[in-house]
Amino acid sequence: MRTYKGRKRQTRGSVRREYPFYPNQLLRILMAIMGTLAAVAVLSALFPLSLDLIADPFARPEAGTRALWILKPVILLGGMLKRPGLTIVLVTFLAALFVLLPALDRSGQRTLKRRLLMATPFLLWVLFLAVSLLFSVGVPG
Amino acid sequence: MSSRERSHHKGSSRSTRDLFGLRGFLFGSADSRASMKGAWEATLRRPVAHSGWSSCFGGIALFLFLIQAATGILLMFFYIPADPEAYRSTLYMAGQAPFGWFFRIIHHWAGIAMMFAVSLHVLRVLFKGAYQDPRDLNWIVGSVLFFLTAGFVLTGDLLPWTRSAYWSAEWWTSLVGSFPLIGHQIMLFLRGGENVTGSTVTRFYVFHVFVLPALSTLFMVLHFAMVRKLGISEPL
Repeated sequence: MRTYKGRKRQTRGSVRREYPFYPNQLLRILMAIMGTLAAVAVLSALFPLSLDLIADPFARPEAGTRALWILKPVILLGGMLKRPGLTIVLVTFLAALFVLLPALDRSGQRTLKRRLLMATPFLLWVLFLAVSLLFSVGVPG
Repeated sequence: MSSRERSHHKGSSRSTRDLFGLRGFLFGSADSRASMKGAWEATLRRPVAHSGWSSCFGGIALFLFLIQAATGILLMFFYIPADPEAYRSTLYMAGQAPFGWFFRIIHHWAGIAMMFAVSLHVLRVLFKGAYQDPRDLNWIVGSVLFFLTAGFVLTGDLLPWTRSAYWSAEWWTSLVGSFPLIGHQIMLFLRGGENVTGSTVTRFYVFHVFVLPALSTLFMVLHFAMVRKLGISEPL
């Protein structure tokens, strides 16, 4: 299959390189999908799912019950604030900031410093989630 | 065989091949009925900005959503959303149902992978500054999709009705309940009562398999329509 080297186009003083969607971009996405499938297959093989004990609404939480990995950042925040009402208000506020980000940053600047400033808090959150997941998976076998 | 017969034979074998081949189907049989050739060619030949591998996370997330839908539908054949049948049906799925263990584990890991694919996609958009005008509305639609993905994880976790899932659901619904003024009403709506019970499982099941997929599909259509209109964000 023949792929294209792309063509250069001058836009607002900078050179923009363009490619046709097929085959370049489509093949790239297909390769990425294959890689993801392989990763899912490897994770499924290495970490088989075990089923915990049945839920008992009348029992007390015991040692060994693990919180859902996606909740760990909120649990940590709740532990620091010690007030559930304040925690949920802060989480809602952060979620609203996230959704309304374009309204808060209307500068139109795309400098490296500004982009790092915007991306770093979310990067930390993703890394925290990854670590939470790592510590919540069961021991193989 | 004369040259005319040979060319006729060659032409008929090509038309037979075209009928069963993907290209032949799309540009031949299907196109003669639905006139899709122009649309396909416009899509495939459309120039996109050279943005590298990081632009694939959106496509990966969509693919994982489709995997989740397919495996989820297969799991629905065995799952019963009630207390204690939820746990028993999951146990049956994991141990006795044909390939149940396989679809369950793929559903589990593909769900986690989808959450990370969406997160990395968001990270790319943030780093490229692609949330700014003219893609600001698409950012809002995309961030709603991000929260819907998190909703899938939260509601899906309780469905096996295990001890850990119960306490996780108990904790986060209590947290929602402590929101000033409307929190308690939202908690009652989510739980189907004051406590996490079998009716909570039924509600989370409805959210997980009907409400969230329907909303996600709607927002995805909007998201892709805007990506198609505005294009992939350019490299900086």
